[in-house]
Amino acid sequence: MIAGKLSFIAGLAVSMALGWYAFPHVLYQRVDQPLRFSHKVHQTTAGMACDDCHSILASGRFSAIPGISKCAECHAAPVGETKDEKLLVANYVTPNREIPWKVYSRQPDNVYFSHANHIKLGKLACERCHNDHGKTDTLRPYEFDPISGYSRDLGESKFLRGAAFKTRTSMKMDDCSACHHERNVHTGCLDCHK
Amino acid sequence: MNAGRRNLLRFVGGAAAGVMITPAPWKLINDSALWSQNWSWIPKLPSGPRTVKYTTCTLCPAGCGVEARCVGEQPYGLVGVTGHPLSNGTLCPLGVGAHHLPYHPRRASFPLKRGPVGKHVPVSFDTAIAEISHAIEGRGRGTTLAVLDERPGRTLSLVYRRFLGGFSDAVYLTPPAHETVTLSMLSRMTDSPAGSLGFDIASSRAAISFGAPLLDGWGIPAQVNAARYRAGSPMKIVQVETKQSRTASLADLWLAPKPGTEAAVAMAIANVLVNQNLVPAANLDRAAGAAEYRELIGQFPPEAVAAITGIPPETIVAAAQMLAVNLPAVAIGGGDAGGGAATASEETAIAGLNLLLGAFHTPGGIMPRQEPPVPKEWNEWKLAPHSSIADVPDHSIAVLILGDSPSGDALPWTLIAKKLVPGKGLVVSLAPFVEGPSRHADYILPAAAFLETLEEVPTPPTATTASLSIAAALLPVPKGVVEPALVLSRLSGTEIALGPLLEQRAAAIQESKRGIVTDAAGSKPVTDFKTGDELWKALVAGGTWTAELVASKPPVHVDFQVAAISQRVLVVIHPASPADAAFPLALTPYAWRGASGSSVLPPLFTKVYQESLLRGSAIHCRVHPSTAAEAHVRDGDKVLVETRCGSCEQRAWLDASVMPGVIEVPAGPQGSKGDYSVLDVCALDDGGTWRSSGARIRRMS
Repeated sequence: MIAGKLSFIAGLAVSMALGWYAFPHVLYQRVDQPLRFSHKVHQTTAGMACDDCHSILASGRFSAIPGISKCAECHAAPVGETKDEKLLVANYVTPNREIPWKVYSRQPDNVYFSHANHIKLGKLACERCHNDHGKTDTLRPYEFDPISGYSRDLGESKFLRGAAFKTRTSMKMDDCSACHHERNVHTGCLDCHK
Repeated sequence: MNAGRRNLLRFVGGAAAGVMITPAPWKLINDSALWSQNWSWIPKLPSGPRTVKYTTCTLCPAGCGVEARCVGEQPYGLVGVTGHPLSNGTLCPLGVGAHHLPYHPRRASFPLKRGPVGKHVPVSFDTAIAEISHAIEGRGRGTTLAVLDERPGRTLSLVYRRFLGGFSDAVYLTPPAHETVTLSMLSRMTDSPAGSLGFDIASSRAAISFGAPLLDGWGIPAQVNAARYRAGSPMKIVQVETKQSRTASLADLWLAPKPGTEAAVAMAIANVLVNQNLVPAANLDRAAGAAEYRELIGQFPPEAVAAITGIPPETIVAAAQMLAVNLPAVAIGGGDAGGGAATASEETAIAGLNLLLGAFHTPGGIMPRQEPPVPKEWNEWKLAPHSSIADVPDHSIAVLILGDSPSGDALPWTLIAKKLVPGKGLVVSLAPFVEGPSRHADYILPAAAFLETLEEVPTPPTATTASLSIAAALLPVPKGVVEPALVLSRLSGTEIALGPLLEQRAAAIQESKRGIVTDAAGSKPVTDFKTGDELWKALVAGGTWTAELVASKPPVHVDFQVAAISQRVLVVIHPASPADAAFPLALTPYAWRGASGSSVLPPLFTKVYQESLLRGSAIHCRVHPSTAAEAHVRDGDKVLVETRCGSCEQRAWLDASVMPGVIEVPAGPQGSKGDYSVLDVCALDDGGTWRSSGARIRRMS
């Protein structure tokens, strides 16, 4: 009888270990970013603010990831000694080629999200959705789900977020809804799915 | 521990139970759903740099500027353009979703012919042209070839008339006047100098509207908004309308007359204005037939009219006083996009209020407009005569070509059908959608839809200044789509190309040195453009040419046309025959502008639906609970709405805001496949209008 219970519990334990620990590792594929980028250095050493690069344009659109021309404003030639900055100048700034960043937060095509509304009207801080991403010293690998094709940041529930990912905040629809409910903001389908 | 079969099964059972409390199965289910959204054959926006292009909306005549936000070359969002000379940032829900329309299920993207069982089937362009040519050549004596152009005023409209000018018996037709009906009537009532008229509503201090949806997309909506939301002195609105429309709800004063009695309200207001000396006596006395007019309005005291219309006399007096103390004020007829105008007689009575209020040739009232210049050589063109389709003799049209661009206003098939030669009339549609009258066409040679081709946007018909802009081609044209000019070329055997003509028109404007061109960068005078080609490129890039205001020159001769008004309006208070007992209810179609003709609706348009319309099918009619009770109809029942012209199935929604005795039905596409409209059963009255039809309602078993 005890052996039977132990067998059951063993099966339970093995599948839970696989399901909670191994499954995410097997499911998500990791890709390194094309360059190491330090938000920390830009904020501390260079004394820059978030909206120096990520700003709301006059048209109301949000300049999410700045283009290479923005980088070139300071890095037309290397200003430091790091290998990554040299790569930046040689491979991207000089040939005027955009950096193929892997965007953690890229939403599906059927989602409409306005940074302007959330920052100006909602008065949300960047950290509310992006956590401490703006203070990181390097960019973590981009993880994506090969079945859905979406970034791990979009498809992962809170339960799957481990302590190792302190700088990541989920951007699932549930999180959007929860935040809207917290702030008593309308949540109609057509608000986000135009 | 014994690793026997039984324990192995328990291990598997435990594993199965355990896996259910891990994210694995649920994540995989979720992923499979997302995976199915990303199959390669599902249309997706291309990736690429985001760009902004400027164009002009053509879905209604307002000519609103549009900023098209594109990924690569594909528009993904349309918004208004701040500072646009006509729209100033305004864009209605229809315009916001306009980039969806080319992909609408009812889009025709290749030539179609009505098959033997009545359904449209593909046909080759050459075959269609040959058969249509044969029908044109073989039309009988005394019958005509006609083009019905729902968007007059364009260069293509002139091309239609020139094409018809090549036939001795052809006629160029336009739908019954709608938003401009008041202006048309005023042109007949005065000796206004040559040219058109427009409402200077942006400067009006009050407006009385007889069913016109002033706050729901009328005229140039941005100008109405500018007046209504003017700081300090917002324009007062008196809405005379049976239906509790959005404009009625937001108006300063809502007068809800029984259907068909609006003109009596106009006469009663005229009565109060004159008898209480609220307007200068000269406004009336200088007109021909002033004494007769005074006598006529004497038959419409508020107390008597109250009994006819159901509007309390003090409300009528209050409306007149509101207008009189807020001059300049305008009176606007024409009804809404679905119900259309009232009869000419009734609209004359409404238009006459403008003369009484002194609004004619007064800033803030009705002002003259000079049309844009056209190339001199165009004046040599032999053009077919122009007529309203309502004025064409019945059973006279052998071949009718429906124009390429639907107006978006209602045009009942019953009005068209009675003009065709019975059993032989051939209908050819050039519209891009199988909707509205096109559903009845024998041949459909679809034109490009909005955003697929260069389109000219002429002066909005209610504007006080001439304008011209060009809607750019931002989307690829489907292979089977046919340019209307090509159809005309093949039918006439003469080469006709629209593009060069549009460029000539731009050159004529440049030569005239009149007006300014406004684009996203600002305004500059036409004199800054050195060549016509330079101006043309500015228009194609989203610029809008606007002319200057014309100096007002008040008319010398004014006539209230008492005889014309009396024909119909007196019938309201002295009915010659009782109402049709078999059809005691009033069927009143209504619609959003741009969405009730041959147009289709983008999904985003659902944002303007009322909750009650979203509760179920769009095939519904709204009736007052007391009306429903008399017909033994309950909320949600399937009902048959019958008129003398036919019947249609609807779902009944009980709504206490509907006037008892009235059936309100949206005039847009209906049916499970959007294959019929309530306009198909609207009975035309002897004035050729369909605003209110005798009807009855009964529950279907």
